[in-house]
Amino acid sequence: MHHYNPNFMDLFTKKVKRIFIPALFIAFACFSANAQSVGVEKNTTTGKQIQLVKRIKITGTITESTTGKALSGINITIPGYAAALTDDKGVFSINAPGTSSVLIVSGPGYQEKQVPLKGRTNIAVSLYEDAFNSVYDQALLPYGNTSKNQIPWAVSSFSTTDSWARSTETPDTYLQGRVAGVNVIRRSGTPSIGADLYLRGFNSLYGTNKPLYVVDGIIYDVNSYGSSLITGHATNPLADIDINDIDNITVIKDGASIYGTRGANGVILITTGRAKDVATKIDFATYGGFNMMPKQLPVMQASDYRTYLSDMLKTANLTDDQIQALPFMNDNKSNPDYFRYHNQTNWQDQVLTNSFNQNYQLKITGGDNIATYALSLGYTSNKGVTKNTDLTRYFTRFNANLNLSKKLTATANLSFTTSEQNLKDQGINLKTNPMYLGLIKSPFLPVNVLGNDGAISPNLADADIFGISNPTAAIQKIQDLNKNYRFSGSVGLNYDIAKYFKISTLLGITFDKVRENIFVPNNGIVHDTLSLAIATNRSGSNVQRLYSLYNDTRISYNQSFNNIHVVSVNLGARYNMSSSSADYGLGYNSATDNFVSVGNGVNLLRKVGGQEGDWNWLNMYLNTDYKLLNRYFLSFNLAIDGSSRFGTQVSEAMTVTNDNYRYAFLPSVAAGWLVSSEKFMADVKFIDMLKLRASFGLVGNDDIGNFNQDQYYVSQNLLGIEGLVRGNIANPGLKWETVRKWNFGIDVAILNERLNVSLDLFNNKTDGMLVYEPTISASGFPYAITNNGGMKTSGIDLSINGRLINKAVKWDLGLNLSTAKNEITQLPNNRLITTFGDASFLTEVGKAANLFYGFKTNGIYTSDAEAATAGLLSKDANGNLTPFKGGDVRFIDVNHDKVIDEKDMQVIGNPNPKFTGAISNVISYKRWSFDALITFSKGNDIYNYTRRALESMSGWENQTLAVINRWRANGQVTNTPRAVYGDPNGNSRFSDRWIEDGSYIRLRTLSITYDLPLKEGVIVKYAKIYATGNNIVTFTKYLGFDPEFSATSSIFSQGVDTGLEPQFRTVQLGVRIGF
Amino acid sequence: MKKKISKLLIGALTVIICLSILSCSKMFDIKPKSAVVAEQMYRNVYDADAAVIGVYGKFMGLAKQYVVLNEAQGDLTDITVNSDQYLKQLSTHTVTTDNPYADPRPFYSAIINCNDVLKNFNIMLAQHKMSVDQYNQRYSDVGAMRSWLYLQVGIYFGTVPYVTDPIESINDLQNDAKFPKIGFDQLLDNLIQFTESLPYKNPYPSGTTLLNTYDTYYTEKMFINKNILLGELYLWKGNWTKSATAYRAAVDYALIQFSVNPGQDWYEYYRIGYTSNNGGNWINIFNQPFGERYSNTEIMWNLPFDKNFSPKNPFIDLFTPYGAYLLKPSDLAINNWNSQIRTELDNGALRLVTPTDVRGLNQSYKMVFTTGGLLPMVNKYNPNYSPTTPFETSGKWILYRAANLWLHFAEVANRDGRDKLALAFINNGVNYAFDPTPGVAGRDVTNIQVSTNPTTGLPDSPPYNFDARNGEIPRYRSDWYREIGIRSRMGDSQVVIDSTRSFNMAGNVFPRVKTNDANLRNDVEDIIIAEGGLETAFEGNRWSDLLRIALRRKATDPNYLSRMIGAKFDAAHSADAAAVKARLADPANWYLPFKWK
Repeated sequence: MHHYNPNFMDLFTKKVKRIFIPALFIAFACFSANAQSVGVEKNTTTGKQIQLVKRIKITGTITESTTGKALSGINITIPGYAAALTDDKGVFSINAPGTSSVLIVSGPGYQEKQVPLKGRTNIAVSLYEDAFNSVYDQALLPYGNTSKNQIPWAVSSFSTTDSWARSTETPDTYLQGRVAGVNVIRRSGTPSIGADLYLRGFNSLYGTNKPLYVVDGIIYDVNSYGSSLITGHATNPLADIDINDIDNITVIKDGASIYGTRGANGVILITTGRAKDVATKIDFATYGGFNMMPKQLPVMQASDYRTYLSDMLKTANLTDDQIQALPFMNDNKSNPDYFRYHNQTNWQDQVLTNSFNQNYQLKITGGDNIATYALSLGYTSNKGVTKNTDLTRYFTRFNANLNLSKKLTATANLSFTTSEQNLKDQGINLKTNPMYLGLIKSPFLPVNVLGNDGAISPNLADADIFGISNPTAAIQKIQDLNKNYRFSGSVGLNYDIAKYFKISTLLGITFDKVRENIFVPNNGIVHDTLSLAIATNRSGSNVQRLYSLYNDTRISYNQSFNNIHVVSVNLGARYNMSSSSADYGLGYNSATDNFVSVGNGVNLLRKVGGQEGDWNWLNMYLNTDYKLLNRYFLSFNLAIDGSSRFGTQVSEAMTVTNDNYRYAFLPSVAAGWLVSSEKFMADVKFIDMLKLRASFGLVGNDDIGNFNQDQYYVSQNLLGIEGLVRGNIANPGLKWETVRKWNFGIDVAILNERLNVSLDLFNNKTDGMLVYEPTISASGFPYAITNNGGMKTSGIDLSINGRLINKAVKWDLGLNLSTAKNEITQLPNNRLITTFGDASFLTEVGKAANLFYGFKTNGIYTSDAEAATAGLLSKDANGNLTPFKGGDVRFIDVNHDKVIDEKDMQVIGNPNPKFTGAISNVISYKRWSFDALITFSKGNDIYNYTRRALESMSGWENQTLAVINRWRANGQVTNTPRAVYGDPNGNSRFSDRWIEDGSYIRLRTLSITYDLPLKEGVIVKYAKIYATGNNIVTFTKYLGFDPEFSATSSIFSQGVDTGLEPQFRTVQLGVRIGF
Repeated sequence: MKKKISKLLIGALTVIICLSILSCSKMFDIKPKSAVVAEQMYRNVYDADAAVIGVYGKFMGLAKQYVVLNEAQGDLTDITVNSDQYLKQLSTHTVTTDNPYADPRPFYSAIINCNDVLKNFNIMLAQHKMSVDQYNQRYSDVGAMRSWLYLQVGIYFGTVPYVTDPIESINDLQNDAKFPKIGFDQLLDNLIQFTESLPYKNPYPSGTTLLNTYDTYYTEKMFINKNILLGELYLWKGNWTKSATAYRAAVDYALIQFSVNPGQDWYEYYRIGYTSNNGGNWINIFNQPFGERYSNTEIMWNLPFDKNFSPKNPFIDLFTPYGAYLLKPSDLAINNWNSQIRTELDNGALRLVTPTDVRGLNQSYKMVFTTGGLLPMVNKYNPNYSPTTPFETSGKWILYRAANLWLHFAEVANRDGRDKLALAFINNGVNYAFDPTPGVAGRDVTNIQVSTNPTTGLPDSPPYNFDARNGEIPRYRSDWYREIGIRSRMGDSQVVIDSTRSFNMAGNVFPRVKTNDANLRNDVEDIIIAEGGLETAFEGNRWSDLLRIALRRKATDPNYLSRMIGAKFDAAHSADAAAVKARLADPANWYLPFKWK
């Protein structure tokens, strides 16, 4: 089980001294500090305590909030002290140690509620139903469950009660609109492709900005290792978690340094379902749905296209005779090519389609007093809206709890998911992306080979005279298959050593494998040119593997001192060993298109490659929570992290030093004050809960590459002889990125929780941000990887939840809103220009990261004379200057040198939204319930790469209807430039012409549930019918398919619409039955 | 039972916790699998070989930049309509630091790699991981490569940082002492001092692991020739005799290569013999496969571009209209060939008959018909390339060949007072030049056909002692009897100086009395440089040759470079001519700006 070197024991004593002892010292220092404060409290309150022991009798009534009816059998407790039940009039009586105690009220089918006495001896409490989103709900945190009103950190937690109705979602997309501060950007419409998720914006340029996912206590690796052979695709590991297996999702948003150098981007804790009681329960659900083809983009029909084409040909140095001789310009029906060039094909119809999705889920829970289990099985199939694509996935999960002895309990979690997905290239792949081809393909060309008489052959037409592939061939003949499985298994043991001490360990392993096979045929697709040959057909295969071992072991101490002081301490370590590999092979020119595997390609042309990565991470942690009088909360976390990725010469104050290694030292502290529990709040009756929070902490990002701290050598060939050359300039001081996070929050619940508001202000500052720092040329290397960058992000998270109607009809309305304003604070040379998809981005100190950087325009020159008067010159790639003419775009000459070149580039947009959020509605009436989720994003700019391709008017590609309005004659006033072959004056260059407002508001989900009335005693306990609609309607000014997309998770690709499969509308009907 | 389990469990947990917290160094010491970390490198002689191979592999990546810098700045190539602004900058000597061709970084990338190898070879020697012989050979090879690279960098940029440290970690980047900035002259001193100190100056001896045939290419001539390097360094420094000594050692390589049975190869190896590569066969040097026999007698240092391996042959794109066609032969270069006169048999007698030079059209350059019209194309790099077989891109990068050496040897000899010998190398060889009655048969040649000292008139001493005797009674077939000079090999007429500038030509006074030695040196040198333009055009020597002469004559003829480069613009009737001439009149503009970051 352990992958340690056998001779490690020699090192044991020495190392323990160096690390363990300081850690222990820190631990006990904190401990004794707490102990001291406990002592002080005792002394000052001794007098009171003697009085309190006399017991005060508390009485009260419990009612149901909607109906006002008295509730019997409700449990009232003062933990560790007393308990009582309500009688059938809803009345209870209980002895309390004092009037500052807190009653815990709970009952089956109802919310759990905390009621601080605040000096009262008689109280009235009304309860909401179980599903009510209450401030007293439990958040499932790493060191145990805590009710939300007692947490000093910025934490959001919710139970996934509606996941059954959202069967097409993955955990990441499911989070969209759920939690203020979590900006979920769906990658595309491809089934299960998931979303890029930014928790409070960005913290890093080159490191990951993904939050850490922890599933049932095990870190869930969501990174991809190796890139996909399928353009625009990325395997989504989170899709391997069935959302129906999830019970609770808790999001830690601030600097609680629980996970040390893995927690810089926040933590998302996912807890999967376990048996709640021993009775056997069976849930079964099935859904079927219909996926609707997205609305097509308005491209030209054959007649407009032909006119456009002849204009274009005239500018391509062809004479009228030459143009007339082209087969497609000859309208004589006796022309043998006539039928081949006189069709009306809607190519978008050829690639997009309506389709179906379906889903089956089965869940069985039960057990006995020794062991309980939860077993779930799932199957999902979704065909998507691109023809010939589909996804099939099988889920299995087995969770068990074992009571091995009175003191020893164990848990087991096993899950295995396997999927198979047929895909197509998406995004920037001009030869094989069928969606793109469907837009640019000439509409007068046929799908199939045509005879001279127009007879249709069953064979698909080859790539055309314009050098454009046949979209139908891309759909039917290109193979893009992705197969994936993931196994995650863990075993946990908990042992009560002594009354207040517990020891626990959790050991988990993960195996993940992604296998891809692609094949691009000879026929119908434009060929690639290799260095040695023309690639007729091409094949590829790819295997990516991840193996990871994880252990989390801790000693916990928990003690309550007379309900006045509650102390909990956790001291432990997490260890994560990961190993990844990626291997690919590319083959070319197999004998025929029927031989689709790499091995069939020509030997000489075959290419293989791959990468491997191994890394270890050790996180030693101390957590101390202190609670005074149930209203003052203090929490302290300390992480001391070591990693194989860190350098040996880290110079940083916040480190702990060992012989050769430096450890990140990341403390964090939070304080909370439950103001509403104070006596002086007793008269402010409309406030149920008012909590003030503040936290500060250091968290780290260890995504700095596996080997950059070492000097290494890489292969350098001389002919076929392998030599070695220097690969880098080592950075032995390389370290994690440190993010300092401040958070101030207020949580309020008023009017018996009818209105809950939570507001957080945050400020994250990244120091030691990883950058590729340019080095002096005499070093021979272009850059060194250093920690010399910095950025900060600040913003507001606001969430408001209200029960607007609390009668027979219940209406819960929620709004959450978040902003995250980013600013670069430190960068070598102060600025950085990056490119993605022909777009340039500026990242500069004092500005937000990754701003669109291009040319500003001011309309079109209406005439040659006007252009001549302006006197501007366009500079081409060779540095040649050409004057602008009528019909060219008026670019703004920023530096007034009369030359439009890179010096005239300026910031033309910001892909980051001003704010994002969601509005949720849950309305229930009798057996009906109605759920609507609206998501929105405001102020983000999009670079419409696809529209640029469709309006650049530089070649033979079909264009949108906008180009009909192109400039054609002097004096014409229009907003579309002239059509010139090759676009010599760069009218289509990256400019604000292609930047659009990406704001949108979308009715994301609408679902209606009906709970069938069933007779008592029937074997079926419940049956519910669902109707769900996804992506119902979107309001946006954006001209592309869809304003929501994410080409890659890199910060440097944000806002670039590369032409991914758009999200589409889905309607689903389903039934769920419980036995 | 339960107690036992509990105890076991506690024990296990304690161990796990301790193990986790114990930071045994192995836990964080992970080596990459797809790269080699420093400790795994340099363990034995095979690792040392891999390091040497790496140096040369890296060096091949410089081919395009090397040729562009040495040609686009010179007078023999010109930009085309396809050339970008950066090539134009090179051509007009208005380079800005953002010019990618003028980026010193690729050269330093190779240099840093050499530094790393040298440092580690020393460690290996100290730790007995290589034998002394293995060390000497490899250390000297890599050391010589570094000197060569620095010489190039110095030629381009003048004042440069002379980095001899491997710059292993970013801490080294902060240390200015590791980047001492020195002028070209001091750089030459350093390079000479370092190169002279190298323990082994011969080629790798046979049996060395590095000498082998890989992928059909024998590695021998891929490695730098240290004698040539020394010759060059001394040439730039102006230390004539040392330079000549080094060149002489290089051309005497046949003595090592063919120790027995002197035959044609022996007599013609590096010696501009009359059989190999003469006349129309001159193109063999360029179009024959790597290592082919005749071309092998000429080529001293070359590296092959093979279509199956990276890097891809950059010269197809650079020079052919089937590629990017970024540089073309200048009008001046073409005029130069066209104004030569060949000596041919005319009615049984050798006469000056044909205007042109065989090395011009269809050898050094070609006219090719494309959609853009009839275009001149540099032919030396890609004589076998055809657009009909676009993937047959194999070729070779000739860094140094015998003609380069003889031109430079002539330059040195002339400056060392041996103008006659220098002209012999250029025109028709020692045998002819040191024969008072050349071409007469049946003589006793015992006392002629040997290079003589200009002062004493006696056979010259090393390195200028060339015995070219070729007689029957008594029979002589001396080492240099086949040497026929660069022009004679091509059938070109002899070039002569204007004696009136250097000698008193009045009356019948013999020998003529020298009146102006400086004129004599310069005039002979001009002939050598002009010949270089005909013989080694486009091969990546031109700018350095012109710059060297310009530096040498800076005091007496400051406009040399302006005049020579300006001639290209005049010949092309370029509007830039005046501006370029003005710019090059100022020595401050002779070097490229060094981009520091």
